[in-house]
Amino acid sequence: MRFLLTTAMLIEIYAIVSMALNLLLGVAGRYSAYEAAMMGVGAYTASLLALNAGFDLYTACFIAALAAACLAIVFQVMVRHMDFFTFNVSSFALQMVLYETLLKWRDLTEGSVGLFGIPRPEIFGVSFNTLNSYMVLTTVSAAVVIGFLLYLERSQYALALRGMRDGEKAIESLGKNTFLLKISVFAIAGAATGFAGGLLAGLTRSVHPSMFYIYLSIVFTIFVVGGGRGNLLGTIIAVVLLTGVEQAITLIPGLPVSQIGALQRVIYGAILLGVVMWRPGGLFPERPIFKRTQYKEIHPVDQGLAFLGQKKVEV
Amino acid sequence: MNLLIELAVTGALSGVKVGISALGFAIIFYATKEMHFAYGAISVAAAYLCYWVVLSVVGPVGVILALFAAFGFAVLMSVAIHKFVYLRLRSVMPVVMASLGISLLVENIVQMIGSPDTQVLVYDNLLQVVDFGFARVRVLELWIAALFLAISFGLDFFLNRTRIGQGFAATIEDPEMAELVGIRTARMRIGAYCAGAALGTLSGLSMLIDTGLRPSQGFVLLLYALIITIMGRGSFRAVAIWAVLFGLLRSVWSWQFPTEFQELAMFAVMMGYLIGRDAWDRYKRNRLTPLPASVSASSVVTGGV
Amino acid sequence: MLFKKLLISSVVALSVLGLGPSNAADGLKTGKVGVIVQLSGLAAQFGIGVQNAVSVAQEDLKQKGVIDLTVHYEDHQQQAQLGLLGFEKLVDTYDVPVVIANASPIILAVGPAAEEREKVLYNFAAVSPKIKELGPWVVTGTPLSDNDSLQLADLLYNKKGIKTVGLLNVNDANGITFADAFTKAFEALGGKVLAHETNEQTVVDLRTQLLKINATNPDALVIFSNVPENGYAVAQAREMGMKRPIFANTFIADPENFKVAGKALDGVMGVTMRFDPNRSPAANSFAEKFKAKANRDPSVSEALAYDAAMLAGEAMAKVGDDPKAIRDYMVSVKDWEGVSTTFNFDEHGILKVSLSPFVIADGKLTFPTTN
Repeated sequence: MRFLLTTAMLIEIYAIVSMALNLLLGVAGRYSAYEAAMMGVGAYTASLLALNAGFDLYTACFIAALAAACLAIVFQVMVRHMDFFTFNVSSFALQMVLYETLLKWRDLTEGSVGLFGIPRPEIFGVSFNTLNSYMVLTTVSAAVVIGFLLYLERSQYALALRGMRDGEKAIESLGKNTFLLKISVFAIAGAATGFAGGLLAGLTRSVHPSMFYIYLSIVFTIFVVGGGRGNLLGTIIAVVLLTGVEQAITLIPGLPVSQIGALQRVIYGAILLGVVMWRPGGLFPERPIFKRTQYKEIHPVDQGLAFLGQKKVEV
Repeated sequence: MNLLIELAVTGALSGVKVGISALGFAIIFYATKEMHFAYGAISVAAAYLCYWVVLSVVGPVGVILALFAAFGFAVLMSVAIHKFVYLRLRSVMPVVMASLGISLLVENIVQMIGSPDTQVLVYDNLLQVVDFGFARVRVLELWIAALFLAISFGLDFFLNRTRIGQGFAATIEDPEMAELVGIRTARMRIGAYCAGAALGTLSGLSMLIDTGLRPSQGFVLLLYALIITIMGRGSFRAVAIWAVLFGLLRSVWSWQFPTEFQELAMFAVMMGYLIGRDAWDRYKRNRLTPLPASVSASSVVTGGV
Repeated sequence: MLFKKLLISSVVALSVLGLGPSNAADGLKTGKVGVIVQLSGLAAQFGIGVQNAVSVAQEDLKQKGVIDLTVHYEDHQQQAQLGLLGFEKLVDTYDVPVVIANASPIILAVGPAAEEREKVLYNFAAVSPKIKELGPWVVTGTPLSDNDSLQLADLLYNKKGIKTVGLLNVNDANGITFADAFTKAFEALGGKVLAHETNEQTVVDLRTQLLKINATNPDALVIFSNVPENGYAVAQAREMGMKRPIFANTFIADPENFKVAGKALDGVMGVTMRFDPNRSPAANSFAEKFKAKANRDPSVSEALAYDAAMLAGEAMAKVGDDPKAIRDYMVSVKDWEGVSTTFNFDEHGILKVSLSPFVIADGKLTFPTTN
């Protein structure tokens, strides 16, 4: 039972980060390769505040979210005009810089030794120290964050993000400040990711840099691409499905345990390649923004410039 | 001062080792604009193939067969990926995702087939140490340095002095115009993949003899090659120079600062350089008055890198 | 009536099937353990070696008529959250009373869960002194780094007369804890660490670090790295013309190091548990059976893993599958002869063992009688 609870919590936490990444990649069209490190920043911030500064872990999670958001804003201000390739490489570099900082800054993070004994939260006298109670807290928190991200996905704000994704110049010509849009979406994604990192620290009651290596960023990318770019609900389903597939692999009879890890990654690689090749929209492609129920007729398109002489019709 | 010289020599040699793979990745990237993340994994897989053949077929015949197998595998695999995967996808982001997927696949299939132990081919004559007085260097490193110089100068000569090379340079600079004037850019791209894969394999083979091989090393090989390629900005000379500088700076950093912060410093400097370069480019573009010619000397910029 | 029959037959079936240790068809007791090691990713060769060692233990336990031990493996891939997940899975799915594991981050992450679930967590290789704080459910069958380093510092300073050292350690929990403990012990004796360099896991080009250490001209070089980094460190140090004595911890004698460093390892010294395949017929038999499976000689870690499985199996055969009884049995053994060493545990459940100085000569560990 505890195994199922632990797995469920990991799914919830990874779903938050993957949905945040989908907001960036799928909705806003900006790929970031530093999600794992950002999660690490959140986890370490929350852990250090809980261990050394007397903060309750849950409060520390919110501070961690703020810290991660600020870091994302600072980075985005610095790279806002970069082209796609340079931005990609810069985000890889940021992932490595943050990872190396967590690994090497021993005075703060204990480096490779890691932080242990992180106390679970106590809110208004209610202790969440047991796994069951922490599960309740994690589920409620994840539901709120995921609910917010889903709401955002269907909002005017997301519409503007999609506009920026599909035609930045066009959306600028309509008066939208794309710089602010980029900053804000990275801040929201960073905050969600940092918060998830804090929750992870409470689950494992320990943090170690190896938990936030670049491979995890690639896994989040697979969740997003597999689930469907631009469809946040699809991401949740992808996280659940792929975690299930990962566990199902361990049940293959006769498979040596030493091959399980490698086979899991082979399957991830195959899914990523397969989805991109044969179902580019993902398992659950982005849904149309507007429902077309009231627009049942499709008017034929006239050739050339003939439309200029026509009366305007309802479309 | 002695330490500085030794560190500089060590650093330059380690930069040269990275330089071969960086040149290979740069050839592919500049010619095709495809971010071929599977490059590192394929190079390491080719080196593993070489290792297995050498172990199976003893003697010089085994070595020759192994080299054919390694290069052949890398070239065929890379060209196949380009033709049947990347060309079908066309757009940048799907190519990045597909190449990540292929990288995961190749690396972990190699891990499943091979052993997690470090695999190394020991050739005593290549591991002999040569004492220059100010530094002690192995014969293997001298060979790698010689190869790197030969490849760098050879590439430079090829691009500037041969017709095919100039066609290749034209493909890098402006593929549409190159196509218009009759250069077969599709063949140039395939040629780029062949050359890039060959250099990647060479890098993998040198790792096999030098430090030993593990499946996960492909990613590290790719990361450094990618960084140097982006910093090279379309110029192979810049890639070669950046590769040596990269190794040099990493090593010389240790002269005064803790070695453990080498990687952190390197990535931070790289990030700072990219941000600074981007800001400088924008400043040049947005100036009302143009800069003096010497300051605004342009490099061959391709694909906005 | 039908319900009663079903209930009784279910109870009988359950007791036959597996609330063990029950008896197999041939009368042999049965039991289960979980093992959490790195079986893929970074340092997977350690985990696979452990797997081979534990399977030899399974065979030996069955052959000797002690217990038919079923082993369930989980792969932690050096990540704490996977180690924790693996532990929960082993306990929930297989109801194992004992889990055998390695790696300090894993032990430190799983320790509190072991305490909550009242299962024995047997650590056979993690060396962080913080493990002492984990409570009675964690049994440690290996010397911790503070003990190891104290004895090494004593060897260097008092017995070899080495006053200054250059230190190189791998940047992981093991390397850091060894280095910290050694520095503290050596400086307490009056020695000085002139240079302290670190290397990343799997990075084997250590020339920069060795050049810096060389430049400070210490009396000796001390290496606390993993396999094969420490082998490469020794080879590259000798390549650079470094003639000073080199000391290392027990990992230096791994067969993979001999593959990469060869003769360069001759003369390297240190302290270790005296895993000598010739120390007893059992040790010899283990070494041979391991070699038949893994195609190489076993290392000390693998011998410790074998002893962990043997001790767990013996405990289950004697006291049943109650974790508390198993734990009490394990920590109360007196002079229990393993293949790696003679086991006695202190009040914290940590192995008490004195280490022996070693010198590598002709490709193997030797234990000189005089220093």
